[in-house]
Amino acid sequence: MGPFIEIISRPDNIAIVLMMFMVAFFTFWAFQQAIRNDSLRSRGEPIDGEYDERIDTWKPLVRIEFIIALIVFIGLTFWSLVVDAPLEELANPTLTPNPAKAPWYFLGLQEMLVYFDPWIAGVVLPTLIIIGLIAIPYVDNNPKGNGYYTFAERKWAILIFCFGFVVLWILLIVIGVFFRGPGWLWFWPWEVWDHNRVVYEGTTDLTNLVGIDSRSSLGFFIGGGLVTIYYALGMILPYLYWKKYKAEFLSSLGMIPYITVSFLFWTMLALPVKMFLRLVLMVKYVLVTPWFNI
Amino acid sequence: MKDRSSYTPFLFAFLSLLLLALTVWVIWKDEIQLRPWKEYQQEYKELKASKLQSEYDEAVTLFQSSGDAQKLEALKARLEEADRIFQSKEVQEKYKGLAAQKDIVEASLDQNQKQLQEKRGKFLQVEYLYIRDQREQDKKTMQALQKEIGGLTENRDALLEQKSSIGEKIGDLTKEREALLVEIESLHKGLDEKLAAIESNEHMSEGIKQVHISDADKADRCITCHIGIESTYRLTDSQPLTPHPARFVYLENHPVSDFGCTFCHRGQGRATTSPDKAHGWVHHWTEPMLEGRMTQASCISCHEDTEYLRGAEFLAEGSGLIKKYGCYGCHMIPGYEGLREIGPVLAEVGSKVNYSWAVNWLQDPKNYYEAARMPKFYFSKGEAESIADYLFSMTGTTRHDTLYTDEEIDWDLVEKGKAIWGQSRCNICHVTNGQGGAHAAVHAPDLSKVGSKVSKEWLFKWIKDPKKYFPETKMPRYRFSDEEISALVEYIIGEYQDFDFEPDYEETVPIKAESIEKGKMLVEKYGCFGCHKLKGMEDMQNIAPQLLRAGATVAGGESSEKIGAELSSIGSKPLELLDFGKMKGKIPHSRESYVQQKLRAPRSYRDDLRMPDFRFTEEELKPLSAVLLGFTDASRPLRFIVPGHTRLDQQENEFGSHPLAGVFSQLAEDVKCLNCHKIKGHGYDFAPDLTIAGSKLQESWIREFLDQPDVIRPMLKQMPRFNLGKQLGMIQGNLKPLEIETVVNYFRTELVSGDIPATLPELEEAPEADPVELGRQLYDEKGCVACHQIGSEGGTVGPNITNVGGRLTAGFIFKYLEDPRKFSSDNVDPDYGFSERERVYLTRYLMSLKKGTNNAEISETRSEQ
Repeated sequence: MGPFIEIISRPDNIAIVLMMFMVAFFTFWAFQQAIRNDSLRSRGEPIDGEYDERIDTWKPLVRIEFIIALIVFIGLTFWSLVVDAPLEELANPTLTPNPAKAPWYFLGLQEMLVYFDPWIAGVVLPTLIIIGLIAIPYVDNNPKGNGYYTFAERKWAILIFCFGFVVLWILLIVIGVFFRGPGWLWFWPWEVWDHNRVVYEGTTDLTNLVGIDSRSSLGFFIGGGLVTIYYALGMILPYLYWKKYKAEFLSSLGMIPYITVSFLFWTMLALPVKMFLRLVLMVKYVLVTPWFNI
Repeated sequence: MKDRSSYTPFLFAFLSLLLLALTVWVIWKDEIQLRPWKEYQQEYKELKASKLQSEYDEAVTLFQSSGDAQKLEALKARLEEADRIFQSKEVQEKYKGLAAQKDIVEASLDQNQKQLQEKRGKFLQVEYLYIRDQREQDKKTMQALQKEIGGLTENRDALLEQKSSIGEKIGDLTKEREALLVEIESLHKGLDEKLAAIESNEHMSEGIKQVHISDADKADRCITCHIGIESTYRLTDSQPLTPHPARFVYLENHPVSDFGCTFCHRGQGRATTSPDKAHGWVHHWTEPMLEGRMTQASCISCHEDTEYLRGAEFLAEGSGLIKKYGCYGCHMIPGYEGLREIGPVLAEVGSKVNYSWAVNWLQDPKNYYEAARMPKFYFSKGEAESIADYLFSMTGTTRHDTLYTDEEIDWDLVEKGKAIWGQSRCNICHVTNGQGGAHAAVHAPDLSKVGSKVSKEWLFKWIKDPKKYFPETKMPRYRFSDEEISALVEYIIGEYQDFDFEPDYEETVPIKAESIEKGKMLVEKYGCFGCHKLKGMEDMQNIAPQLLRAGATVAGGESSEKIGAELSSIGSKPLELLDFGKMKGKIPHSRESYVQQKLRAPRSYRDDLRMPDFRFTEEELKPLSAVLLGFTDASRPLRFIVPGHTRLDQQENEFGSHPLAGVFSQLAEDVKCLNCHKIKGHGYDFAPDLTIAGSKLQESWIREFLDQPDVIRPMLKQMPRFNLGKQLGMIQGNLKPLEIETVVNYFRTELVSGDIPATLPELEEAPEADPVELGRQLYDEKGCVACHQIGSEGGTVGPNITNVGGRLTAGFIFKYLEDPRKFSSDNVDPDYGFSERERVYLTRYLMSLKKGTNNAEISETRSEQ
């Protein structure tokens, strides 16, 4: 465990360790509140925040804010006294550090580069993430859950968010920080980060697995077909299902928001799907085009 | 909303106290913890203060005891007397009167000055108008003004005269007093300066001190702690306050203000918060400080020649080792390109050595003799046999050994051979049974067991003409007759046998073709052609990584472009690019230990490495690693660079060609004069430098010496007989009666110096006695006898000068006495600062010392008495 302790105690990584605990704690707390509220609600009792309870800014709010500000200030001062800024070597333009890691908040994106080509992982997916976040107010037509915690009333929204944020985003950051060493190779916590380590990972394109050159027209059409089928089925099947059972939200949502949400959702799920293909079947790309690869 | 206000005051108070404590911590950390240099500076100040104080006290005591104090008292009394006189009513009246007069004169002078200025200004204005308008009226005004200016000037001169005469009179009154004041001050000056030094030390400002070298991009704050590094005071021996060691070599030539510290020592010059950080002993600082002798690695950055560089002896040792072991055979190293392969030519080795010997040698050269330079390649017996098969296949088709142990010995011939061996001074270069080898720089092989190694036929051919077998050999061609060579061969083979030698192939065995092929592959894989010339492999490339550095170019060939990538400069190669492989965790994780381990056990990092094991001792590892660590890609300002002479010379003449010319050069090449002598910077330091031999030596002496080398050097440094002259029975075919003439002519025409006069200068005054006798007196007076021998009397530090008058020219002796170090910086003769007259006498005396002359005999008889 020596190497692991060394890695988690690095000055750069203290914030990530803190973040892991804080995300876990707040997620847990939110769910606890939500479940409590849901059970209150089911018994027909009132819950915090549901009614219009207003308090003064001065003094109750300012007092709390001031004390919290003090605590944060003391915490940061203490931290900066005890831990020096984790500077590394002088920058050398002819020598990139190994591993060359992005800032911690982008490590999720960097980890995606293992599974997608740079154009997809570096440009398309980040753009879609931002567009998706912007789209939330327009596609979310569920008015419940404002000002109080609840799970029962927003199951899908909460589950999808938790999967996207906690599982994908945070987990990929944690992997990027603690499990990716020199050469962006996977290091278990008990392994020393060896700069001279060599790992052979032979990946092939999906169609090559069944003997069709992914760069041929046939390969292109098969790959493209698979991607199209993935999205088409992902959008049509749920639609038909909900249509059959006459789900209420579907009619209130409208067609365009449904397609948007559905596209974004399956794009998000494409990451774990591709991770599975890459890690288990050693698949490099499903679709190869001269401009980008998926 | 619950009301939490009941405990907020306590929380607030607690947090405030915490914040206060943190603030105190911040101040403590910033002022004390992160400024460890404060303590050093204070300590230095105290040490210096006590040193200055004690110096001052000493000076005061000296002042008291030397009588200066009494003198001061007397002067003060006289000053008082002078004061009293000056203050007396009579003098004061006179003084005041004069002063008043002076004031008046000065006031008039002021007035006069103002008027002059006014008139001149007006004059210029009118002159301008006159030039513009050409009006007569203006011209008149100009003339009038000119006249006035003339009058005023006269007036001023008169006033000035008046003023100086008054000044003189005043001076008469105060002169004595002022003279006394000056005297008192000069008497007290030394003490005052010391007091001022104490004062200024007390007011020395504390703070971070920095040297900024803008063109080297260095800002070194080392002197913040090493505050006394440039001081001539040695206040303490402990770091960081002690001065720089050997500052006369290092700091005198590289002042801190011009070079900083980290340029040579590396380390993190900007860090001031802890010694570890400043010295670069922290994880992310890639250039940890170099200490002690390892610092010399940095000399290579700027000095292209480090071989004779004072203060870089450690480095010179390292580059000597690179040359000795021929590292440049496999690695491309700037500054070492174009040097000869260190191993012998292997073209005809099959007819030279025994097969069993070759196999044994290939497995481990040190089996044969301990000082072997060839490294161990860890060949198995099978591999060694394959290589031997490949080499033997170039001249024959069989594995064979030839032994002479059972042969009848011709003792007469052996005796004759032994005499020739001694006369030819073979032992100067060759070691036999642990003896000889004084001239180690030529790396002649140890001959103790040569009888079991080589064949007589080969040895005969070799001695007769070494260059025929090995064109670049250092072995001279002795002009022996065939008969003499036979005798010598008989002696060598008979005398130097290896009785442990076990031949396996006394019966010849044919060589198998597969084995030859396998041997060739091994030769190519391990790059034997790096050190040995091999047929068909002349164009093979260096097999090992290049050891380049920034800005260095490799002369010749395709790789002449500049190489700046740091990957090739081992001295600054990033640590993570060094593959510690199997040694990871077993040796310190630093560049220095990596390099040293590579040299210590070249194949210890991985299994398939090819570098052979040179069996370097720990004493050899360190200088070698210093050289390697010096190969960095660090940029340095052009003004620091000291170009190398060797390189410039190499560029001028193609390497290997002679600095000598004409017939003499062929002769010198034949007998290898430059193996021992140095001429115009080429050759070795073993025997005297001959660059100015033509001016230094008398012609007749050169002739005689070449005929029969005389005893002026101790045994094993004596010049061998090359049989150049006719008297010694030259070989018929090689007989060149003009050879001595050639040498003498070359010396007289080429190896001369314009500084050395042909004759002694004439003295203006005739000497009061016989100059030779005066010279002899000087010789005795100055104690020359302590080092030099005349006859058998005197010391042996300097050369024996019994026959100096028959050997050296008068001009040379005369010039040499003026400044012995002029001719070679290593001469130890003291500089007596002789006058020209003295030098003439001494030269006359020395010139009178000739073998068989009266003077020498006199000294001999003297010593006998």
